[in-house]
Amino acid sequence: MLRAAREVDDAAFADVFRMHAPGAFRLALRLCGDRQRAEDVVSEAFAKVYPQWQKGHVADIGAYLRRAVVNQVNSGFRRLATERRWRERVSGDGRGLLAMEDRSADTELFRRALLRLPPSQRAVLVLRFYEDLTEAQVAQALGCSVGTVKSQAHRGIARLRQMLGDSALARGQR
Amino acid sequence: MTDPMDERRLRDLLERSFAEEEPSPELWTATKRRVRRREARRRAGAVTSALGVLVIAAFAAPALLDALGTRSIEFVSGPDAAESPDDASAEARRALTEELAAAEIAEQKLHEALEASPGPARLHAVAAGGPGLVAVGSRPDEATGIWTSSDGVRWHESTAADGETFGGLMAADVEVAAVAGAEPVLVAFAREAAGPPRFWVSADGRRWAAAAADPEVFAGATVMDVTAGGPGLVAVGFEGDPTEISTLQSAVWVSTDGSDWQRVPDASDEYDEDVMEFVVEGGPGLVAVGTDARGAHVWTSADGYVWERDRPHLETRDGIGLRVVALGPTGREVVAVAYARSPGMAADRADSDRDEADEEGAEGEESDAIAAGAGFADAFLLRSQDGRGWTDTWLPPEIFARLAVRGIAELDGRLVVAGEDAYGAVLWESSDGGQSWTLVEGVLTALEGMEPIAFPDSLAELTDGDIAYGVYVSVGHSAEAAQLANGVERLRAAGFAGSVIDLACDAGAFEQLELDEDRQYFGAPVYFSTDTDAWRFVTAWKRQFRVGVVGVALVERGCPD
Repeated sequence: MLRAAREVDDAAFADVFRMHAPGAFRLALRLCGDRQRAEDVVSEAFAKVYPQWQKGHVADIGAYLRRAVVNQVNSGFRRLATERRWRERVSGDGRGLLAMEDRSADTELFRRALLRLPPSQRAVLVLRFYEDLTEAQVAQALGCSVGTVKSQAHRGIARLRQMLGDSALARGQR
Repeated sequence: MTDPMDERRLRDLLERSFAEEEPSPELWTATKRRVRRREARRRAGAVTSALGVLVIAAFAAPALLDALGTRSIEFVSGPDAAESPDDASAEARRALTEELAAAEIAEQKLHEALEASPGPARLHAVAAGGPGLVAVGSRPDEATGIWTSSDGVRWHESTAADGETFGGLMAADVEVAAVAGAEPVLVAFAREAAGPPRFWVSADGRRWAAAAADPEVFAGATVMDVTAGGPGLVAVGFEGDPTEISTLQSAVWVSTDGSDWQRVPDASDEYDEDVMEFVVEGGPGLVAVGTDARGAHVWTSADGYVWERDRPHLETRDGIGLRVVALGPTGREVVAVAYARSPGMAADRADSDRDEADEEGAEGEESDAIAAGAGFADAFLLRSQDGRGWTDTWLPPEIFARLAVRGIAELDGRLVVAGEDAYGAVLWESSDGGQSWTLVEGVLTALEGMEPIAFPDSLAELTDGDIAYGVYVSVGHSAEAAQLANGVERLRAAGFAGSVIDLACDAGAFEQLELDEDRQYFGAPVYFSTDTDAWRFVTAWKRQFRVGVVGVALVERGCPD
């Protein structure tokens, strides 16, 4: 706060944006499931990161952005009090197995199941298995313990299995 | 994740299940516009905030400095640590100095406070001597150090007289076992895994020199404690194999200078299979306490050469068998801290406390502290004027059941117990003969090299939409919850303007603190720009208040609409 303010360097920040925005967007998309909302999350995350980046406080901007995106998605859900309604809209009655008659549409089923997970479980699974972070890195990104990451991953997988059916996750790559 | 097939499938689905993977080209333009809007808002707010901080600093800083000078333990590191601060620490220190100097705060005192080191991370021994108290412990880097204090509040790390005195201690795998107060010399000694003990002597506790003791005098024996007394110094211990109780026999040595030691022949020949563990001046001249297979024993001696062991074991008035863990002189009497040889009511009481804490929100990680304690055994303060008749006072289990006691001493009429709990070295003091105990609180070393977002008012510069690392020292379901008041009080004692907030105003806090989103929570937070500073604050918090925090979360400030 006492450091001399640097001048806004659009060019340098534009480079940072070009390098990190696509990854941040893909992460946000998997966390919130909506393209427009994902773009809004990414834009807001960069706007929040900017002053810290400008002051030289951000050593690992990828990690910082990742955390900002996760928080932005999760807090947005809660603050707007829409998540519960949104989950219900996506999942119908909000309980039990999704309809499994259309096995060929497994990616869509998976997408819907993933987005029905509690935000913390979804974040752990996406960071661990999409971003390929280690459990320790996920813990750091989410500000929780490695034990929490493990338990959330376990619960998330179990919940996915419950929604998709026991064999759905284990059918192997197509 | 238990099945590798699950992992592969999950990765595949995460990759394929979301189409349109690139953000739109307009996203950069929108982001740039958003950045500029926020910058303009921030600049407008900064002018009023800066004025506010200066005013707050002018009023709050003297209170902080008072706190540093009166009720805090202040461990001042040796010249090596002071001369080589890391760059980040130096910059933050400079920045904070500038800020407070603007409010006309005495710079010298501020530098003293900021240069406070964490002090001993572990404590091996504490004894009265030198300027008041001498402590032997390990620094956070695990190097052995010796600290002295005239008041139990401000501590100075001793310097090595010859550059090798404590260099040897650091390099060798040596455990310093005790410091003995003697006039005019102090003695520190180390028990090595194999070989004779090593001694160091000091006149003031600040500078130490190795004493060349004859190893033959200690052959086959182990020194447990040293004190002033007899012809000058008296050491007690045992000979024999500590794994074979039938081979053990107490042993005593005497010395005039700490270098020339003589074994006292048959000092306690009447009994064997016992070990002398502690010795102090008191009673008829000297009082030693030790143990055999069945319990604690007391020995007394007028001169250090002839010793008499009490016949029954040392017990409380209710017949509870004891194990003594610290012995100290007060000038008028001998005092000891002892634990019951078997767990007692303290265990139930500690469990009950923990259950109550679980039911009403959270304040730190109390269970960690309890787990590191002395096994819930009841603790007692023992006092004796002659070494033969003892009185006992039951010590509060909420303190002593979680404390590994390393020493007890008297300082200016106060009893001081030094030890370790789950968060490191700690001192407790009592001014009423052990009935009640007060934590000798340390400087919030969080200030060293840290950059809270706003100091001292943690909320002054945070506006809606700001993102920060929040450290939540306590949370509760009600804004009036006792643990929140406690957290705020501690924050204020540490120089931060603690306040209670609705956690819904810190977006992201619920998820990261793993709170039930269907319930309302309030919290006592302090905010930082970087997670490094946030976690350093947590470490310092634990060290000062002996309790953890609820958690750290990267949050967005802003209350629900």
